[in-house]
Amino acid sequence: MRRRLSNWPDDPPAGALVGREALVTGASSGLGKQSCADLAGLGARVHLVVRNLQKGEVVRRELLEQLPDSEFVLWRCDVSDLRDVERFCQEYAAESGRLDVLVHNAGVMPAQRTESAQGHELAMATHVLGPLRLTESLRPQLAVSGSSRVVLVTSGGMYAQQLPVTDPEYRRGGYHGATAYARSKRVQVALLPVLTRRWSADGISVHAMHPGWANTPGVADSLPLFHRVTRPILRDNSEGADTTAWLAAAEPPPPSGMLWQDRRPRPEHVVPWTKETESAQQSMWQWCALTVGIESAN
Amino acid sequence: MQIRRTVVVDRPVGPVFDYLSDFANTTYWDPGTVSTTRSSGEGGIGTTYANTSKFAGRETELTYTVTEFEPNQKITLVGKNKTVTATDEMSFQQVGTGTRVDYVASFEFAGVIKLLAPLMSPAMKKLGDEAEQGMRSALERL
Repeated sequence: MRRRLSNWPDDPPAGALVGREALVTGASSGLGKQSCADLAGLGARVHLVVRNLQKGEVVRRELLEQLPDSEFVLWRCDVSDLRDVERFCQEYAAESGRLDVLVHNAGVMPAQRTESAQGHELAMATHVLGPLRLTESLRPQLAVSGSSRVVLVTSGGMYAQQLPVTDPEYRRGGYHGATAYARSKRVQVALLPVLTRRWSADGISVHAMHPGWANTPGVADSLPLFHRVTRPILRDNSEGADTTAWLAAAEPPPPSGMLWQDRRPRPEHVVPWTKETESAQQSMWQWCALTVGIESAN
Repeated sequence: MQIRRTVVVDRPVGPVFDYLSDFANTTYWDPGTVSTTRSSGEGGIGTTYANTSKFAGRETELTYTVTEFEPNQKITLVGKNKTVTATDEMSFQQVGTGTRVDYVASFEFAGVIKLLAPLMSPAMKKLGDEAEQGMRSALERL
């Protein structure tokens, strides 16, 4: 229905991603698979990054049936594991000289506080630390085209959360997966200004997008009550993923460093008490950079 | 009432601890402090500092005593006068090549002032924001 609105921004040009390489993490379910299809539909060769190769292979075959002329490459990587990310990036760099679109879609909402291989709270490791390390390690490949795009799939849940700079590992207070999830998404959005400055020198733009409340297995498993109550109005995957492919391929390129939903920029805060100080933003960035082991200066 | 702040900088924990554990340096980094001078001791447990702070437009004097001192890990000071007991706790953690400082300041008010305490929270937030920014700027210069 939104598509019929007269001011709905134009679709990306047909074949916008022909000859381009796109990579989607968390590709084997929900929004990830849809983004793979959308990007391939625009002509990209699509790299599916999954934790479970068997599940990934099923998805790859389904995508091929849907889009028989497209090319899908399957990779295994646990995005929350910084060492595994490093290993994957080396293998990717050996296989493919370039990367044009990078979609950080992999997501988790643990029922109990869980730690990554390096001992970091799992939601933060999966949504922030891993993606930061992955993007940094593939910077040479992203720099090849001079106009590559990174998309962080975030969540409107972050609107209710402050930047967790005083407790980034979620050690204090009762653990709630949905809160951990939303806090880490708040961090993604708060890092946008730093990442925009940092990566612009290489012609890399970075965008956060909120899919809206999509009907995905993630929502069904982690928020069963929310899912039951809202299922009639939840979006399907193609609506949820729409803005990801649009950000990846729209012309002229959307400006870097913003939060989007339904192809439009959105505010980063809707209530005043979530606004962080500049010092808190700096500390959050320093913590992320020092934790994943990258030079923090821009 | 409590203010909790975190500052993360790309500076090793040693110099960060040395700078912040000398409470006299609050004169330089904490905008809420007018002056702090050491009045006895060598910096470890039992050391005392004479502190003059500005809060909500008024100057107040406190005597601070170091109650916990673990090099490169933690320092706690308790400051007292007739109306308030302030506990300042700083813990230090290495993050990669840098340091994370968790700063918790708690205030307990005596007598009728207790009833006014909730009115002070905007001023407390401002105090916390300024201290956080001041600490960050000072540590970045180390």
